[in-house]
Amino acid sequence: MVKVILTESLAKKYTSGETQITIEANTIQKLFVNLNERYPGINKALNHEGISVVIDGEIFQDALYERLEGVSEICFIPRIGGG
Amino acid sequence: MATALKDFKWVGTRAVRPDGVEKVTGRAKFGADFSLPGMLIGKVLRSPHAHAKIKSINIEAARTLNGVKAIITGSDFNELPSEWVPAGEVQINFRDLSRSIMARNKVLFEGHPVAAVAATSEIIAREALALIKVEYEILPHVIDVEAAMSPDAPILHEDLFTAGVEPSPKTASNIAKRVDYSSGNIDDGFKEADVIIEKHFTTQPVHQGYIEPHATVASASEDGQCSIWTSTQGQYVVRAYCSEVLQLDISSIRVTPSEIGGGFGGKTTVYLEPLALALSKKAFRPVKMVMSREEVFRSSGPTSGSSMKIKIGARSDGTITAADVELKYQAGAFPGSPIMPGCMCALAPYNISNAKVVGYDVVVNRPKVVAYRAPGAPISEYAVECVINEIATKLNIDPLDIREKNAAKEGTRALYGPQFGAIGYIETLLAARGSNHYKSKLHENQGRGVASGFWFNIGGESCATININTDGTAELVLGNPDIGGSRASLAMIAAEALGIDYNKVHPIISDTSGLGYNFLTGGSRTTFAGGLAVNEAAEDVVRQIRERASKIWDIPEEAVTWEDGFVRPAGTNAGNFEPLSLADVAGMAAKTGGPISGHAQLNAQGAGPGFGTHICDVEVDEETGRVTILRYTVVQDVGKAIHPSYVEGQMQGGASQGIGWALNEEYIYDEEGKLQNAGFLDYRIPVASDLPMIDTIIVEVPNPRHPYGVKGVGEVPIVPPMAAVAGAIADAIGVHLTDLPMSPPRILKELNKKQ
Amino acid sequence: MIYERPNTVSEAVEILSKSHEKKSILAGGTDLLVQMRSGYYRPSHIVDIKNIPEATQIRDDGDTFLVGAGVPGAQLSEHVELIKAWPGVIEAMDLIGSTQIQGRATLGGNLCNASPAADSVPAMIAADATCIIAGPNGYREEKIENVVTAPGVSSIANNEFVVSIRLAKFKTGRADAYLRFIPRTEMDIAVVGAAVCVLIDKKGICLNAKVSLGAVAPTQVVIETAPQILIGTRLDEETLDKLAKAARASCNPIDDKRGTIEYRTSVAGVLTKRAAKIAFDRAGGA
Ligand SMILES: Cc1cc2nc3c(=O)[nH]c(=O)nc-3n(C[C@H](O)[C@H](O)[C@H](O)COP(=O)(O)OP(=O)(O)OC[C@H]3O[C@@H](n4cnc5c(N)ncnc54)[C@H](O)[C@@H]3O)c2cc1C
Repeated sequence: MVKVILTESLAKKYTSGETQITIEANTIQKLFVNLNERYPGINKALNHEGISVVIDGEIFQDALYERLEGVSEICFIPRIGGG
Repeated sequence: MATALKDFKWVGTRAVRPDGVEKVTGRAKFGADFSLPGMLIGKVLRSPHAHAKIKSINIEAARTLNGVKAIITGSDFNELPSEWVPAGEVQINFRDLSRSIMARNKVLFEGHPVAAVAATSEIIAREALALIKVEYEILPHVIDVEAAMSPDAPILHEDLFTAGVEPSPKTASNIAKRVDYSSGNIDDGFKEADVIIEKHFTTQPVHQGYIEPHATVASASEDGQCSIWTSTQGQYVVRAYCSEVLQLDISSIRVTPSEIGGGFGGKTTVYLEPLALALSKKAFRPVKMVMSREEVFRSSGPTSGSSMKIKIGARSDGTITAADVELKYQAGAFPGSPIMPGCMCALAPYNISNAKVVGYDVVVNRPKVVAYRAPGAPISEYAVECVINEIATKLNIDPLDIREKNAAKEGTRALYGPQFGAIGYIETLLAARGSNHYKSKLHENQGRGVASGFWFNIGGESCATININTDGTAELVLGNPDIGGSRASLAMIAAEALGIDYNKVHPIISDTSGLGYNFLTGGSRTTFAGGLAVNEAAEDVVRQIRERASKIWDIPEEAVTWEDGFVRPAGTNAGNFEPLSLADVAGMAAKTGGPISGHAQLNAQGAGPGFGTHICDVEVDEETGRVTILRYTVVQDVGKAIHPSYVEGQMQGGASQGIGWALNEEYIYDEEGKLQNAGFLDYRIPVASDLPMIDTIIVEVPNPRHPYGVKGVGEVPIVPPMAAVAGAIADAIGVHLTDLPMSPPRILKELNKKQ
Repeated sequence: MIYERPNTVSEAVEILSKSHEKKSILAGGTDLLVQMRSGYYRPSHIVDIKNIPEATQIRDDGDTFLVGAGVPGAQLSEHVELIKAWPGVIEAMDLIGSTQIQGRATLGGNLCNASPAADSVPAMIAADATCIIAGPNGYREEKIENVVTAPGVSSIANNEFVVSIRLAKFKTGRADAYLRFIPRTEMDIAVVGAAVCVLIDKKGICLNAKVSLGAVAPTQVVIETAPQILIGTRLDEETLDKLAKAARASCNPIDDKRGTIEYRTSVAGVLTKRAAKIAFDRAGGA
């Protein structure tokens, strides 16, 4: 089980306001699938303009196949570019 | 993972840069220095109007002009779907990109390209432009972000409906999107506050101000092979964008980056490259295009201007109890301002339990904004830092103390979700407080300001190849244009990892065919991610060297060790053979299996967030409103400075650009939406004599996710200057200014109001 | 486009007298070349005066200096006698551009370009300088303040050119000063320029004065009331405040990208006062 932190606006729209949810998944890919099953449409909202995944505080620009054993917390942020 | 950094031989020294002599002698080839036989000159016809319908374009007269070889207009480009798709590392809406570089039915800003011509000389190309007849129907325009948000504003895109609001709006507007972040309850937080400051701020769009204008040569042949030489921050990104915009196979395009005279984010996109290539595909001759400075100002860059409301409450001991932030960023003619990072960075340096940040991405009739150092962050952080300074003044608390009291540290959860790891924000505050600068005395009409800044820093795709020559020297093949000394830093990492002399490593920047995909030079990633790739490529070399030695000595590979640039037999074989240097083994490469070449290709994760704190002293001429920067110190956590001089250069450069942003830089438009100051004479970036030598204090809290502790340097230093300068002015004259630039007329007005 | 480089004044006048569509004198070219490059102006005929001795030398003419209209700023800034006699004119010229520009830019070009913001022009006006103009009817001499008639327009005819600038020699008790306001420290165009020349007696009493402003009106302004205000005083605070007021009253600026009416007017007073103090000090009045 990993804890997923959602922003309040996403939570309002998809999880009836719940900003912290726990979900079963062994990879980020699986996490997306399971999230979307529970909260239909959330994947599309998350991925709209590109996304980075934060795994226990560390930002992954591309994390689809990262494994989640031993991971406690996930959150999503827009993909950061930079100058 | 090496968390405790050992002593290095090369890393941390101030080695001579490999591109130095080329640059100071004028040999280095920049974008405009490329020429090919039979080359044509391309020129762009630009819209004279801020907003107009294109009723017709007649190119007949231009086409028949002697010497004109190709003409393109919007109709030569494919219509692309409006969707955000990944292009390498970034998400791009190619429909907008394509329309931004060549207008279709509408022009959306003065300077918007409407046609381009390739001719045998520049004079003919210019004549041809004058012969192209464009019939416009002028539309009302809007330049200001607040005006663009008002319900009766002229609409730029009839199909733009604000994203991020529920229910979805039924009418089009200029607000492309609304975003918000919140935590806790701000109403409760403000109730706990002893002091609340609420202020409205505006900032102006500012140009990246690179000295080298955009320049490109493109050549397409009849069999479909295309080559581009261009000044860019990312040759692979140019290739990806051109392939998408012109619908070509990626492999058909080869892009060679020139030396680059500055980019600062402004050369992370394409302007001329697809036009030159499209022209060349018609003429089958090379086409060279170079922007004038005026074109640079009218049609490239800048970063967003903004309108912001900030409300922050604190207890009398300085603890911040709540923050309410509203940000409106100009995107230019197409959606995509850096509003997201603006929102995420606004409060990132602080641990605030009750916070709310709302942001708007707003289109206006100006060139589409493009990245500029820490895109979005300097704007929102400027406003927040100003309010924090004002709270400190009100509560009579030292501005560094109030920051320390609320500072984010390891484990602090940022408003946008994650918890910070090993960050060095507090360390920068402590170093600032301990500096001689902070302890020095000020005189009449002088003031001191401080401000801090945060930026994420990123990783991304990087590749490296190290070819070991038979004499033991190394060719280091890199995939990122070198803007701030990265060739030197990466060669130092290679030398360190290979145990050879830095001067034996020869770094070159490859064209797109030499390595796999590299994301661009940006996001403060090049030394971080490139360093990881170089280190891995060096490990690959070492593995091969050990393998070759095992062959030479006829002992198992595990019995060969590598240390300080030598292979040695170990275990039971120890002492049986003389150690061999890299050069020794390389000299026998052909006999032992062929050339030795190490490769690495990776997608770097684990970039370390950057924090900095700046101290600024100013003197204000109370009769003219003129501000002189007397002394300036940049303190920054960089993880590890591979080459301290180039780290300092980044810190000083960021501060200089930020000071320009603070004091004088602004776009001046007339009533028709035409830019009045499209040149460095009246768009006032600081000149050398405007600034004191900028002092630097490098703080090193190593990034545990990098073998050398690198975090990224280049963007953070442009975040704090605006608020540091504003704070210093406030300290000198007793007025907290809120609108940028803090130019002499504006300051004089405030001084007169005060009296 | 034809480029010619005459060797004498008369050769130059002869070329100028032939009718050409668009003739331009080329001195340092730091205005002209920029205008041509930007496509703003395309002369059909260029007459370079840098080969004409009278235009490229600084000559002693008895009581006065004759400064060739083509002498670059860098050379003026090294002329010890000129600096001693006219520190204000030289500092005004020296403010133009950068080291590179100084190698080329001239007093004559600055004058004939006829910009309201030209730095050396108010200083030359305050110094009572004149210019020697050659034309088909020989030479004529004109006060500097009569040369610029509107932005970009001068009273020099198409078939004439400025050969040199006449400046008086050093005189005890007389000194000048020039100050300009720009938002940066260099490479900028004056938002306001103020030039003051004073003549004082041994006791520090002002005997004569001339004050001129740049960038606050379509052409350089002479503050007509300045002599009245200053003569007989020791340039005390009260007098200087009066002068500042007169300076503001003589302003007729425009609002543009370089400054607002309000700002220009306000700063004109400040600079006039400061320049007057410097001139007074230099004249030995401190
Ligand atoms: C980077 C830069 C910075 C600058 N900074 C300043 C500044 O700070 N202050 C300022 O005042 N100016 C500034 N200028 C403008 C310019 O340098 C000055 O006006 C300079 O004095 C012009 O002299 P010139 O000899 O180069 O003129 P030119 O360009 O040769 O000529 C200017 C004009 O006068 C005409 N002309 C020249 N000489 C004569 C003559 N003898 N008789 C008749 N007509 C003549 C020319 O035909 C032309 O129209 C700057 C220019 C640049 C490029």
